[in-house]
Amino acid sequence: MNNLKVKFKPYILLAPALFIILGIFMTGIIIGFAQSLGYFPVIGLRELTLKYYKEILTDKEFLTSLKFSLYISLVSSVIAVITGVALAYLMLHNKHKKGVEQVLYKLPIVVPHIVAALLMYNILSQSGLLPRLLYNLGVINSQQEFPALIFDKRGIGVIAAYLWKEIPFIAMVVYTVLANINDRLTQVALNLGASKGQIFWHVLLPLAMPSIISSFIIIFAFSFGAYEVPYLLGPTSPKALAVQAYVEYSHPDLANRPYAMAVNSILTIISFILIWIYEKSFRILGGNSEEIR
Amino acid sequence: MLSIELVNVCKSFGDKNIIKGINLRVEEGELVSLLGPSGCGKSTTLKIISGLLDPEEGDILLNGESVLRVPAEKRGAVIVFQEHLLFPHMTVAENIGFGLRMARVSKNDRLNAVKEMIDLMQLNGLEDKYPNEISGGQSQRAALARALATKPKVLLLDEPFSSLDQRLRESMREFVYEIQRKLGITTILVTHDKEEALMMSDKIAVMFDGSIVQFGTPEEVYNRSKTIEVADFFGDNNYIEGTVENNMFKCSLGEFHINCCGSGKVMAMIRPEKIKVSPIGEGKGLKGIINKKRYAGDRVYYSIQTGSTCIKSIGNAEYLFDIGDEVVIDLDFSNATIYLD
Amino acid sequence: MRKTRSLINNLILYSAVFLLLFPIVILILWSFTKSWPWPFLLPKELSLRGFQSIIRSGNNMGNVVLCSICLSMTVTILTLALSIPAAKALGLYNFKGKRAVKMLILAPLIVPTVSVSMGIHLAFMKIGLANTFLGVVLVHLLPCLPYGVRILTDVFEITGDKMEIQAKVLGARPLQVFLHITLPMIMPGILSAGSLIFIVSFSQYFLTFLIGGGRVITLPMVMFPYIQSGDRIMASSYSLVFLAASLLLLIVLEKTVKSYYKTENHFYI
Repeated sequence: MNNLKVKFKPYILLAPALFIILGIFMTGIIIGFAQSLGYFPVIGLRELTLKYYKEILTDKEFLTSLKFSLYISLVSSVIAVITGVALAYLMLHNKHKKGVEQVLYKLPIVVPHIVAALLMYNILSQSGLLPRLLYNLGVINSQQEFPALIFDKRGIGVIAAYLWKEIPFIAMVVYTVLANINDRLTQVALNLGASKGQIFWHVLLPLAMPSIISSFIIIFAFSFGAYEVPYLLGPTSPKALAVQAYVEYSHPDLANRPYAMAVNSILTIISFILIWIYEKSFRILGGNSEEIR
Repeated sequence: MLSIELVNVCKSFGDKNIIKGINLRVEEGELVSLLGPSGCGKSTTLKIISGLLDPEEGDILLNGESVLRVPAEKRGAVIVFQEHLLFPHMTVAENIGFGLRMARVSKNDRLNAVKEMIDLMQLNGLEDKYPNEISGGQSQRAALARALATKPKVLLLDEPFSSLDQRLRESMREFVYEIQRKLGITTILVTHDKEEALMMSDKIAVMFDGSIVQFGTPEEVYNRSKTIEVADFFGDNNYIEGTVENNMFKCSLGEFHINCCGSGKVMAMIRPEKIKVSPIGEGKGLKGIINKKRYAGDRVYYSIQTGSTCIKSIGNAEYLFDIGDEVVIDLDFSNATIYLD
Repeated sequence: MRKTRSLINNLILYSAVFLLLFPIVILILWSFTKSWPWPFLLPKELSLRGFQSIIRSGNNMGNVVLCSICLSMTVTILTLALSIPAAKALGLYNFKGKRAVKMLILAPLIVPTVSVSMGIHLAFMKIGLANTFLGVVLVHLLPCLPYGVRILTDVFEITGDKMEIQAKVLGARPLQVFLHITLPMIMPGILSAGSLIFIVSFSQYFLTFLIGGGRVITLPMVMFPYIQSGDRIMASSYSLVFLAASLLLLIVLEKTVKSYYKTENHFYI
């Protein structure tokens, strides 16, 4: 009798959390998906159709939004990872005060994305601090000469806001992983003749790779589907996908809803693909590394 | 304090049969060792006795009554593990008093009991220290005190000394032996260390691969090992093939008197320390030449070539032979254990 | 050579910290500004106009801040209550479907909550959860649960269940084991998870905006329009209030829990 209880125990423990996940998360996705296929009984649509998908996938505006979101996410995430890993390496090899770690870690977490957007606005807008600095140094002669980094098609402001939050995040995650790697491994490598850089490249980095990849996917997915920052700092066109989705959603004509949900569902599908990559990356890189995660 | 009995206990994990029908009886106040190599199921057996695991078949009786349905926290069979597992967020005193606190013993009684234990286990001065502030030996004593404070019905020790270094291990062994005798607690000790089992136990249950192969006093288990496996667990022995007929053992080394009824092909086993080696010219026996020698301080291990056989011997260090010395081996087969083929 | 290398490394590190802190300094300056025209590098006139405006504003800031704190506290407690058993299951047991469950619980970190909330909005309206405090609490669970489960799973994996087993054979019943052994041992994890969850919930804008429908007003909801409008002084003042509130709450949380449990380094064996 006891053995039966033991078998079901984990499922019982998981039940409350899973109830929320399935009840809210999965339900939200499924309803959204159903609506994107035209099933919207509130306004009388019951037939399933792919027409909404067909329309937006051929819509120039949507495709530009998609490209824009992908571009922003990719650029910001790649820069964040490279810079973050470099910073982690520096922290590993330098005697720095504990204060550095604390600040790097805690500060960006406490600052929400909308405030990060404000921070970038304060510095990078045409009346921001950076152009003022350049003006006072004689590099530019007027506000207009400073390129528009906010509300521009290259989304520089958006990327900057993401970087301000993400570089410290990656740096701390990678640093924690690296710091926890058994000292003995580096000692063995040193003993066998490897230089500090070689040790980093051939021993530490591969061991930290699962964490790096998982962090990359998290920040990529987040920036891909985020609303607040691109809304505040992004151009009117192209809009980021999440912003576009909400614009469609808040359309006064309810018949527009399926378009909104189609955009949402595409966002969701791409995210699931990312989850799949996340999963695969762990399997390929070896299940043993899970402990280091 | 009571007797404990395992009746035909079986346990599998998935489709692996770990415990295959164990029968064991420990009398009140006895210390019985479960001795065997790693992975033979000794720790699993302890967990079953304590109630942490349920057997598929069989029963566990405390003083004749089945405790199979009694949950672990009510059974009173306390395990002390190899890693002392002192609660890191409690002081030594709080750790020792833990079981009593859970049983809602009054504060006064609890503090008195803890004080008693501290004195008994020689932990005076460490009451307010945290586990990460005391040494390995002190931790193990504290873990033992914690278990004993609950006045357990049965004390189960799961290789408690393995993580200690040699000298500490030996002194802890002595210490626990004395305490167990003094308090008279029925104890089961799991170990893979034969010396430990031999020196501490009233009886030894030798376990291989999920079954108890031999159960008896240390002398019985050592001198009259039931199987070759059991015999080999206690040392590197000499095995000589031959045939027995009419109390005579015929083998390649000659014919010898033996106390054995029956006839046919057998394997005779003589322990190395029973083989007396003398310099040539003194003593009687087979001639041989020393071809290996390992000096171990209080004794010396020899390998002696006689004819086509190699005989192992352990001698005291009073007289040291050298490699190549000619010697005489006294093979007394009345000391041998016979195994039928 | 090594010394210069180390010097350069230190320089880079400290520049990174500088780049991180500098915008905050600017924020603080703006929040105390009366006027800071182009092209000055420092405010021309300082004042508390921003903060005075906040206090006097028709937004009833006291209520808003209280509401935000209550909301995020509720979310934190609820998330932890759900996460602890889930993390125990994932950290200590091996069972069929474990991988799938792990992925499922992690999913809200990767799938945009924006999309999910738009999907569930109508259903919430039907059930009557839309525009309610409870509805917002529930939807905040989405981004918070993954963090809670993830952090606590790691904690359970590291501490294992050996201590609980030891307590069991010493006579402790399941509830006693949880209160006396499990909870104190995972307390550092609860602290870090709780702090993170609180911040995540405290910082939410879109979820509160959509599901709260304007009825549930939190600090980010009040801040957002100012940031959008480009009124740097007000936006910065509000942001500073937000940051101060967050930091204060985190410090208070840490201090109270630590003092209650007298934790410290006794955990790390």
